[in-house]
Amino acid sequence: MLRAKIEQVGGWAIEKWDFFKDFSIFVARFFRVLFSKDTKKGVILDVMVMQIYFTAVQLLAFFLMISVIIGTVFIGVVLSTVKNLGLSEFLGDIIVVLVALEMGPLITVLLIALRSSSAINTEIAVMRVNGEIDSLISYGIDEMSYLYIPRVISVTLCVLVMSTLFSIIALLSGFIFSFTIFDISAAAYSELIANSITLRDVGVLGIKSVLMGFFISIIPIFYGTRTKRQFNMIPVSVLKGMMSVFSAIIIVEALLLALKLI
Amino acid sequence: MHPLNFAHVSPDLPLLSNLTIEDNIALITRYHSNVSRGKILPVVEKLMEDAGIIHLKGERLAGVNKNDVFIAKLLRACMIDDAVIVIERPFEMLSGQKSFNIIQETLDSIKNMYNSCIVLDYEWHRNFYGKAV
Repeated sequence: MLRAKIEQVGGWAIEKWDFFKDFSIFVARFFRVLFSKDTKKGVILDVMVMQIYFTAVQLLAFFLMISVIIGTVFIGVVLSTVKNLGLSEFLGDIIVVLVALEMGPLITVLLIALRSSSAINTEIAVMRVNGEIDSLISYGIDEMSYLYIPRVISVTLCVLVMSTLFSIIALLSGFIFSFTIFDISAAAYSELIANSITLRDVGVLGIKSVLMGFFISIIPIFYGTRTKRQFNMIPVSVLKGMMSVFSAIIIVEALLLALKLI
Repeated sequence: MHPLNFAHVSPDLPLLSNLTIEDNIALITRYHSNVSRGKILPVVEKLMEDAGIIHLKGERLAGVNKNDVFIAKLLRACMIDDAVIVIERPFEMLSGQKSFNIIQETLDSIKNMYNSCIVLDYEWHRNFYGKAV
């Protein structure tokens, strides 16, 4: 009984270790090909443009609407709580930390993961099961440089730009509430925010967005490439990929929070 | 020794489903020679016209019949410079065809685009080839 349990835990640990090892090799190959001078840049740029269109441009109207709604409601709730608790002197810090550093990247990355990570995972899994990746390899086209690199770069760029956009929209929404709840003028609000934002905050926002963007694109690609060659394995691949994407988002959040506390 | 530029046309090497037919054909040259889409597209369209599949311009795999997919695969193989085309199990890629004629006609229409062609097939398909064998 005990032996069976130990074997089960051991098996699980070996499986996780193998997965981590394979993923590390995949990421290392990604960077080697990305910085290789032999990598064909022309087609990559074309694929990147298409991917940015699918990830950001097609999502933009919905994203802007969500930013305004969530930003406004969230800031409204936060500001009335701040007022009730008598913490008005921390207003600027609370808005900047909660909205720009925490909520902006998180909501952006969740929206893009829901839409693009799942699509990328499915696309790569279908290509793998159909033998389309074999077709590319057979004609001397490196799948890493043609398929994977443009997708990862595009999604990372989109997360960075869109989380900045979300933060700006939410900060603008914050002004409406600051004006109605605290009777703060536009000039005073701008000064409050400017005094609360440091270069370090902007850096943390950038690093967080880039890390999250990188992981929510490379993880689904990795799962797609590992799909067994059966059509019924495609949903399994997407399911596992998306669960790992979610875990990666939480880990990046937790690590950056821990770094901030050190 | 000079390596031959083998170009496979096989049921195991499908076209990419997320590209149009002309982008599938253009991909090899675009990737290997860093040629822009705008520059290579007229060449591909001329090739499609010669092979009788210009009506597939802008189409993706889902809207194309098996015979036309076969011709598109053949044109993709021709995009390799001085290619030695290896057609593997052609009748698996053609729907309801039991004659080599369609393959011969397509090869004739693009004869300037490749070096030579080898067909690999099962012995029991010998009668499909008529005098060609």
